Amino acid sequence: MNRYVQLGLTVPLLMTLVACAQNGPTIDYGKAECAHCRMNVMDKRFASAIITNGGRQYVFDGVECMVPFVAGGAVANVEVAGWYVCDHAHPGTLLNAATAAYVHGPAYRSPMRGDMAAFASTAERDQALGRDGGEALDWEHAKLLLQK
Amino acid sequence: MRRASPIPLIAALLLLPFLAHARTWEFRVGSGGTFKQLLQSAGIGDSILVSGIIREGTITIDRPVCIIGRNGAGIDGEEAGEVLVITASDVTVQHMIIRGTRMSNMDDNAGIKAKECARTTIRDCHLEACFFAIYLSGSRDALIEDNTVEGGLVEENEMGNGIHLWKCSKATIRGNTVRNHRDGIYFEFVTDSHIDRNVSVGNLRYGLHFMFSHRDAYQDNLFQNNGAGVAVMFSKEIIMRRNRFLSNRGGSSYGLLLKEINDGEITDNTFVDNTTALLVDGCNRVHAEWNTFQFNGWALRLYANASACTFKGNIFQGNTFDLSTNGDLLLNTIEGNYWDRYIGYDLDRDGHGDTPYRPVGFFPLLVERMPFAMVFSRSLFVSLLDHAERVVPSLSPEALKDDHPLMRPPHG
Repeated sequence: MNRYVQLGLTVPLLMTLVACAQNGPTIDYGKAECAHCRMNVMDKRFASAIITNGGRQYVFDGVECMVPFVAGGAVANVEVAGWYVCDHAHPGTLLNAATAAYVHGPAYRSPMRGDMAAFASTAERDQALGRDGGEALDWEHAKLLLQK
Repeated sequence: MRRASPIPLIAALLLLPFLAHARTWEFRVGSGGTFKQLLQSAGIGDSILVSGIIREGTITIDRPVCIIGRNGAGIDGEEAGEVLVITASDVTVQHMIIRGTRMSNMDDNAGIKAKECARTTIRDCHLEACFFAIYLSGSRDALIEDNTVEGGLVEENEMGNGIHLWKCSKATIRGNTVRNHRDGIYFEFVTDSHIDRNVSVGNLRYGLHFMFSHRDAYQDNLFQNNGAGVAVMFSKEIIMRRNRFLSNRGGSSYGLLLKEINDGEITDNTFVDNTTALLVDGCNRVHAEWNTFQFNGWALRLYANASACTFKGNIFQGNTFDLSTNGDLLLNTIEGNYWDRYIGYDLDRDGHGDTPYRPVGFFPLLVERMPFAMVFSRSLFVSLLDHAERVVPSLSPEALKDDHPLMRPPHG
């Protein structure tokens, strides 16, 4: 009997844990280490992350570390299940990197000097563009620029 | 003998009356007029003695003057933005309390910010509750001396750096104490500068952080209890001497993290009680000599991508792992160090053991590949495997050994 109670408690708990893991990456700011440059991830305006098909997450201090990390083959491109970037306008909120709008310019001092920031919508991006200048990019162009 | 030209001397004598003309102003808060008005009437080389706390928003110093606080004098920015902005060369700020920038990571507000200036001196000041405390950009020959910098207890991670230099040269940072900022001291694109005798404690990320900075030296500093230790990254010709790296603990925490460093010198430093004392990743020609590594998790993690690095005369005592690596190819020299685990003998009594010491055990190699294997640390099975590896080395890289280990610590 006791065993069934244990099982009854453990199984839902495990299921909850598994369910949580599928819910996008979590970044432990201040403690997480960038998988590419080893710096500690602190800046909630620029941090980024990937999740692999196996469910493993890699955290980066900026999109300029995330893109070369995969381009360099540390994790194969096909292995990446999801790409995430922080919303520059709402620090700490993670966006789907593929649909985010990007700006590249010296006003955006990202940790590794990629000078690139992501926004949830082109409207928000263009607003920042009008204020601080820079070059507007979509995800594919942002990747091309950062792979150089 | 050739006579020296008299022209510079005459010019100096002609200038003397103007120099002597520099006045000293006395400013008391609340006794008529504002500090900003007084600044407008101050001339080149004047001194202003301040009493009381000035509350006039952001103050900009646009001419070479010397601001000296009497006891307890200072400037409170009342969280409006920057507190003191220096835009002229040859400005001195001394014995002042500077506090209360706006706390926002959207703009880099600083307690004292100097832009494109030469010979700025900030001495004996106390900075508190500032997002960035001292922020120099595009400046040369700055002297930042004997200040205390105390970050605020705002929300964690949302804090600027204590002493932040960006694109500067020939700066001297000496005798300061920095606490509770993001990075205690931060250098980016800073060349030919010195960081001496500072104390950097309890900062959220790094006690000291170098990025893309060349030909700098840091000596006699104390780095303790910082979130992730000290990081020197993407820099050339950095000299690191007689520093103490203490108690930097955590999964991604280092006493000293070296990433992509060429031609570094690490001499006479002390590393105690760090998770990883020294990590060398992608470095060339880094020479570590006469350092002491005591009671660390990993004393030295030397990545296989390092080349032509030397480790000589260092003391390894009481560390969980003395040395760990992630590959085979090692073009580095490890020789003449003291290892407390060495159990060899010295028949010819030359002070060096007669058999080589292999500091990399089986277990550190395993942990490097599978970090979670750490739960088996100090288990019977692991120590058996470690002994087997020591008797018949099969996994540890052949080159990774000390052929002349010291029988006694070289000093102390």
